[in-house]
Amino acid sequence: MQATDKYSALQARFATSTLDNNHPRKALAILAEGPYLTPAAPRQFGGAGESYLELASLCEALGAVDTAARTIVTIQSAIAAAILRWGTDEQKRRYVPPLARGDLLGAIAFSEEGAGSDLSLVSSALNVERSTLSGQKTWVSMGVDADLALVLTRVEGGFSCWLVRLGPGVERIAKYSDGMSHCGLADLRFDPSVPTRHELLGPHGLALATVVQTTLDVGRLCIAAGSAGIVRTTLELGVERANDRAQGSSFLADHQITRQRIATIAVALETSEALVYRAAAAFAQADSDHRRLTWIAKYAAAAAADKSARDVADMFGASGISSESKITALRHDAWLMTLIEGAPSLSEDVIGQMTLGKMK
Amino acid sequence: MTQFEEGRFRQGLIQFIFDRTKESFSESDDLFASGLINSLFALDLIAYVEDQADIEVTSELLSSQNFRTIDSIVQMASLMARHGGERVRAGD
Repeated sequence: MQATDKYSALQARFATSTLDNNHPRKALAILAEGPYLTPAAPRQFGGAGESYLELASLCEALGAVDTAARTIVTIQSAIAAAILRWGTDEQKRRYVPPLARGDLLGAIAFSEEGAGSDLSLVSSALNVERSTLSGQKTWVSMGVDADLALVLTRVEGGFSCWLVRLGPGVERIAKYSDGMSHCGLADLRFDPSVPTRHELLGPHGLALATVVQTTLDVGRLCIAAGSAGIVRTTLELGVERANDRAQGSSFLADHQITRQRIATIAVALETSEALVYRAAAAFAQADSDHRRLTWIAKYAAAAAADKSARDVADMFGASGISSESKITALRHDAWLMTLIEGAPSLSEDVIGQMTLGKMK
Repeated sequence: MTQFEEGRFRQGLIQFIFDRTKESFSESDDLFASGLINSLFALDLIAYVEDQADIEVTSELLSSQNFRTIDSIVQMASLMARHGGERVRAGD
């Protein structure tokens, strides 16, 4: 699957864009020019009616050039998938087309300071009578710019997800991380004295088993594909460096150790892509094993991105530890890919559980 | 499954839940109270029911009492399967 060929023109738009605080909005505008925001949504709801293989292919292409753009596609597609699966017909009509067009930029607000890997510890709440939210969500991608957030709260007897318009009653507190540094990361703090515009998405009290799973499944597939894209870019940078960098009369590529390093990254790229597209195919066929395969793909591709970025950074020496250098940004993004939607140790636990259940 | 057979569906469902949870539930046990529905397993259970009974389980179906017990799942699937041979949507 050559993600780079079909999307090379789109990739070029991002390769040349300057990164600043307006980047999320600019990236959204570029993506909105084509059928890129929710490719897997049906045409009647503004999507491209493509399969999850196409979504993975797009995310790999974007992950290779711009993590913020890949993140936007991830969020729009994941929220659209959750609405299409669990929303009412009216919610599908009202929200999915604007998500597909980029008229609404989404954000996924599940995690809290005390509830990351284990979302059953979420404490944010919605006071239904007063229409107010309380609590604080953290590390929300696109939180600085988003118009609409999918918010997970505790309710009596369980958890519910709400589509919340980000306006009065929601304070955005920008956060900075070296990884995903142009993804508009923010905390969202809810003011319990100001009513918000919101509506329930999915079965009341059962969000953890329904809306949250659908959202995270799609998100995890996109992150896995984006990680494979990072591996591809590190390989390209590594090859370029190996051929360009000379010491005396010999190039880096003349050394066996360099060729070995390039070989391991080439193998990592092929295995990451194979796992990502296997998971995407399972998604497309509604294979009951798709969730386990997606966890496996994300775990392996993110680890491959992390290792490849570190290995290639070594080849750049001190110049690879500059905030200006491309490989440094990739290193930070790749590291973060290993942590989001399931850090390595958590991923191993989940994959182990699922595999034990499957093989019984 | 071309034609819905309640007995076969019930047996398959009991076996599926046992295989996946290693716990035996009686047909009137509250699956929600067991914590079973609120877990990673829930979506797989829903997918199983959709596949075997050829129905779509919407939020509306899930919010009501339909998924509370093995009995109620069988009853719901049976009712919906009788409504039409094709994949039927809840609430339609």
